[in-house]
Amino acid sequence: MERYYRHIRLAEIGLRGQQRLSEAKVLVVGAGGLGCPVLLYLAAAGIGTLGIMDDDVVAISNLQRQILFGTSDLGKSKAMIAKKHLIELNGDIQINAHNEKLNPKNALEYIEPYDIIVDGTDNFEARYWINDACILLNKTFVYGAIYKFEGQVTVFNHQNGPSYRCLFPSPPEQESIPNCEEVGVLGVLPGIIGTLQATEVLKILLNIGSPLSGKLLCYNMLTHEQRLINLPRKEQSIQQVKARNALVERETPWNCDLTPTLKFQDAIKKKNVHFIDLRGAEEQPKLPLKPILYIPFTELESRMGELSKSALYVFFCQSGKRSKTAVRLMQERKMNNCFSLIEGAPEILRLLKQTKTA
Amino acid sequence: MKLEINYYGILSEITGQTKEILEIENPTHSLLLITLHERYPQLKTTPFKVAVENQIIDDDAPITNHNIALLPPFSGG
Repeated sequence: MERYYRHIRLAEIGLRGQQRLSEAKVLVVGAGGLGCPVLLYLAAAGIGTLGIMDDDVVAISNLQRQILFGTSDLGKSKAMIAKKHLIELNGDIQINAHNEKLNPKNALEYIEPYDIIVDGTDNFEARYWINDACILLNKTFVYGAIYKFEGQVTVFNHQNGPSYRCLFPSPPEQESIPNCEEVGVLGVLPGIIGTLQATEVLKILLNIGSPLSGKLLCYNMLTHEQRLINLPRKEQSIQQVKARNALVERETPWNCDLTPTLKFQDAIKKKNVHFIDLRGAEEQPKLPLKPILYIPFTELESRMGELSKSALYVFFCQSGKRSKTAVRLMQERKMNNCFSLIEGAPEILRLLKQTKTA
Repeated sequence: MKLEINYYGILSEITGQTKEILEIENPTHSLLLITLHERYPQLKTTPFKVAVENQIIDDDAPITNHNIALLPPFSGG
């Protein structure tokens, strides 16, 4: 116990508090920029069981900020090397190295044995899997994320607090928000944010202060300005996850789909409309629409020259998927006179028949 | 009403500043979005939440305080 003397000296911790730390089980998902400082401080603090989940190997570009690794570790498993260094730091605790990538199939199984899950991942997909798994298994989720010189920290799913989905209901399109690999990051930033995450874990376990549950801390390291945003729990967002009772492999991105779409009934009222059937010749039913162009989706790029900027083009296909992609493609070519029909061909045919009988 | 808009993360790059003052009559969540989309078309494809006086507000809520923060999700770790 001499190891923890400075903790035990604190009246707010004492022997009892240190005992609580030694009984705690914490899983850190991602042993990267955030995961390294989290793991170092939690191991030093004497967290009884510490899990490390990461399937990556150490790369030289990691060493600028991932402070658990050294030059001789290049090419080796992050989880295994992290465990090796952490045992050297504190041999009295149990360290579980999981050389695995978190996915919707294994998330529940890996998260279940732990009390608190710390998010050290670098992508939205994994963050939502952790969030949903924590809702389903009733685990506290200590969240941290960084962007260049800024960080966000909060505690989700803690004592009936909000979850990640109460803030951002579903993941954005990955390309709308670049990650560290794409834009860069000052090496010390994940050090600060990861240390704040470790702080939250210790506060929760020791029951001291007020954890960042229901509060999102936004931190800017260039100015040291901080803002605490109040996050209300949205019961509906949480109940949706519970009702689904499983993790989602792929989700429809949030707030980003601004492809111009039209309902068929609105499209036929427009002037100078040209319909474009993007389906292959073999796809049925054919639709009695005029004027209509048959441009299979695969030929669209090569046949764009056939389209003029003065007409209004309404794309459709069998389900509405190809037509959306086509309109996005047209937008990239500055053809802003294109719309995608919400309905697919079978639905349009049904609507056409209805209009005729009406 | 004069609003102080604070831009976080990628939003400060898109707008070229960390904060600015915008004047909007009878501001609401959607009026603010329309104004921002006009000034910075790139914001149309960037997800973010609007906080007024550090409270997240939903679509169409009126804005009754000048202190606005626009918060995008971060993915880095």
